[in-house]
Amino acid sequence: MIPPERALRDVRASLREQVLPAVGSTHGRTILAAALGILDAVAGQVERGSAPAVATVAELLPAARGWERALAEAAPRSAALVAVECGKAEAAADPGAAREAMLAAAERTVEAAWAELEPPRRDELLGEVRRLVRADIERQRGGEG
Amino acid sequence: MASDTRTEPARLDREIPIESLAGHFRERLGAGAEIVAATIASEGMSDDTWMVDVEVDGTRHELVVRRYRTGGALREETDPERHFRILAAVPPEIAVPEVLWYEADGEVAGGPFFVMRRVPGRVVVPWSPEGRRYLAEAGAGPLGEEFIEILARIHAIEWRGGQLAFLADEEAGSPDDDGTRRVAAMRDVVERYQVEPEPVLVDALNWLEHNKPAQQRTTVIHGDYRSGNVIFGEDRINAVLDWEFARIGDPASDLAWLLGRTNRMGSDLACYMMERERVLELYERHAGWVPSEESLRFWEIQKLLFNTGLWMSGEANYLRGETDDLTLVRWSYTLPNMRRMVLDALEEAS
Repeated sequence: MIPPERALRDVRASLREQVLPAVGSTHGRTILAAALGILDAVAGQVERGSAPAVATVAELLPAARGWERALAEAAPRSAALVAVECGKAEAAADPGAAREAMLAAAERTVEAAWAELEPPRRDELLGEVRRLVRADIERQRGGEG
Repeated sequence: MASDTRTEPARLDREIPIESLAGHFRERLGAGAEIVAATIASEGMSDDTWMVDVEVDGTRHELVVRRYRTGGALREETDPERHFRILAAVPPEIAVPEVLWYEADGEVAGGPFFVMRRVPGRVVVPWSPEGRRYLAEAGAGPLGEEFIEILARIHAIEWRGGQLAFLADEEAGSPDDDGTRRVAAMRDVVERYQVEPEPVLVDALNWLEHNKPAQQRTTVIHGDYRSGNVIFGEDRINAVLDWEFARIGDPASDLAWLLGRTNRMGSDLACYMMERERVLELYERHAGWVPSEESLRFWEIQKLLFNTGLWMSGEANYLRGETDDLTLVRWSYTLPNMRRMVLDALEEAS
């Protein structure tokens, strides 16, 4: 069977080089250009597979346990919610679901840091969350993270 | 790409519902009305612009139809009837297309629409190579100064007691506290369209709530003032387009948007036209004041968040089955780029 990465690459090339120049309709060209952009993005995701999500979980899970401790005193309810998300990530069979739980832990931490902490503790915690979330974003964009 | 299609439609684009539209024009303009040319000028995230030439008893009318699609990005925030009403109410010192009528019946053209008279000139796609070249040249000359001078004039519109006064009372809260209103609106947008956890956006919302600047002025705001939303003539700007996000509020938001990173991707030139310092210098010359740096920083993050909300709404509407528009799907894949820009701005501001 033709590997999906190669099939996607060839479909994109054919659409771009053979079909796009032949489309006369304005709307048709808009839709085809959008489809090519989607295929470019999807092709990158197919090539990278679950590696970005796995890397994000590997980085965020130990960090989130630390956020849970950092929030325990000032925001115990938020700390408990972060712990729930960590548990979900640990139990998830799918790396995508585990990554989503970790991003939820990051979101809850950010919300609690702004609501319950004062500088410099707030800034330190936000700084770490931002650094790790940025790494995840870079992986989503196809970089190393 | 610099587009001149606003002046010369030359054919009948099959994607435009010509027959249904022709019937509508006959009702509006008389039994003799006939569509002689119709082309798609642009297809946006929530609406389309069609150039339509209609002949009535030997007289040619060069018109523009702005059609709003169901399920487009931020459709809940882009009320076409409100847009029509704003265009009709803009005072004559600001050139805008003359609006003729609004049609709410979505059956006629696949969504509600309004009709305007065409304004001659050129609408530029700012991020295209041709557009960038044109704008850099225009920005260095008198068109650049006029671009900023018009913004100062928009901010000087006497709205109290005028036809645009209705914009001040559309939301809870006061237009004198625009920051609070906009942050509340953005929180609502993020909650409504969120399809996955959004730590960056939640961070940005909280940053905005903790860093609201003192509002220096309360004026008419265009809401999307940039080089792609004006019609350039040979030696002057012929019209200001796209007033759908207009409101009464903090004019620093217009400047922050014009200066912001989404309007100068890969360029040092604000709106691909001129340096930040020149924008602020020209604005101060024509408006007599300039917003504080703190205010510009606040509004840049707010506008980035708003832009990200546009992308999110397209993605959410697609996932909910409200649209099958692939252009919105395409934008959803660029959401990581938007989140990164918000994060960059947050870290620069912190």
